[in-house]
Amino acid sequence: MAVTYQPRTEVYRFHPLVVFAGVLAAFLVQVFLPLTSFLTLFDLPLLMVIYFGFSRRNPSMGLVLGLVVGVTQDLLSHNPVGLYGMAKTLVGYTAASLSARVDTDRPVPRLLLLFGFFHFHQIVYASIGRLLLGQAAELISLRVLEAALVNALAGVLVFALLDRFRRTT
Amino acid sequence: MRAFVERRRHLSLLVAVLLGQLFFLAYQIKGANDVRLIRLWAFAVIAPVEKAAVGLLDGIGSVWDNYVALYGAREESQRLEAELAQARLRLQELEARAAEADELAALLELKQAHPRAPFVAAQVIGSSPAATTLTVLLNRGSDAGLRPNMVVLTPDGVVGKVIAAYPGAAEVLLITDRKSGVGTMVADSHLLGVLKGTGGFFCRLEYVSNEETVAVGAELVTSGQDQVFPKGLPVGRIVSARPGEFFQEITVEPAARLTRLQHVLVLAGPAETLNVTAEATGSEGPPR
Repeated sequence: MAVTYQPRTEVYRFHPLVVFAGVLAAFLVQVFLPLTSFLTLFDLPLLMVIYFGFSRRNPSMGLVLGLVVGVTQDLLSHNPVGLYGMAKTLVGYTAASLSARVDTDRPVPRLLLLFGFFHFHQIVYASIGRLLLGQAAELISLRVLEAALVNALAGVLVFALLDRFRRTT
Repeated sequence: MRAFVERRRHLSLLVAVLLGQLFFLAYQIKGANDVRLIRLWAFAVIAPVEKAAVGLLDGIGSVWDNYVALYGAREESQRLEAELAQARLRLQELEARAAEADELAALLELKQAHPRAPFVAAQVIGSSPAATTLTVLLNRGSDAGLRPNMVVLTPDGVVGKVIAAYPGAAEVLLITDRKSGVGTMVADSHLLGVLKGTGGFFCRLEYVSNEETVAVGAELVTSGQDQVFPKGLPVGRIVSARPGEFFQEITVEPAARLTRLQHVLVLAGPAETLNVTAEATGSEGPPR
């Protein structure tokens, strides 16, 4: 029997405060995380962008959220503004666009998508860094793979927590 | 359709946001020589456009200069060519007149050197229509006192003698004609001979025995023995001499430029009126 996937049409709404609080919390945790080797692997703002992109399924909304989060991350990390901004803008747009075609509600697809999006984000970020700044940023390495896995696992947990705050339209 | 428009709207927004960030990044980043990246990009974009614009303007200017501005140049060129041809013609005319003036001056000088000689100046107006006869026609004739056997000469030397005189014209037999014979002697050695025409550009000095010594380059003058040509007039120059059966075969180049005759003097009186002798001329050249 052939298994077909029906495109998802549910659009989840969030109270603006939830979005704001989620992003703020991600930044706060990110900022106050001890700079140990393991914890620096996390990119919680990226998880927020991906999650809200998946949930709202609106590319414009996704890219705007990615823009805001990325630029904020640039400002806080003393990067040239736009480095994270461009990477997360693309991630937000792609996540929102992709969510209409694939299942983003179950843990396993989420895990795989998060793993892939982390690499996508890393590739865009590293490419811009290399081309414009001449940075020796890693496109792919063991540490990047490790970070992708850690963020994917953390994302599945965080997404499950955030699912509690969403409302179906 | 609506989905398509929606998708395009999202994509446009994405491109705008990305470009905005890219430009902002380029504004912040400084490249080589501390120049902002956005300035480098701007020049990278503008410079080729400017080059293309300059090239286009140059091309237009070139087309204008080489084609449009040259409209009418063909007519101008043709007009100038016509003017140049006229100028060349005028120049040739003036050169001919100058040569003629020189020639006339020389004739006048010759005439003044012999004040007692009744010279009649004449212009060559034609030549013999037959290739076998070397004669020229003068514009002065019997009405000017010209008679047969009168000597015709130029400042360079003897031309020939009048063989027929008509009212207004006279016919002159050149010394190069086969029928011409001039009593001649070598100016230095006084060696006598008869200068005969060959029908070509040169003459032949006849009746000089093989025993005589003849130098190539020696000047010949009239001997006066033919009772026609006064003694001592330059006739020519020996260009070659070799022993013959009885007499030497001596080729003489005429002193007068017979192929370019324009003006001549006709001695319309007795030979004694001329102040020339063989000694006086010698190899010093023609009487002037």
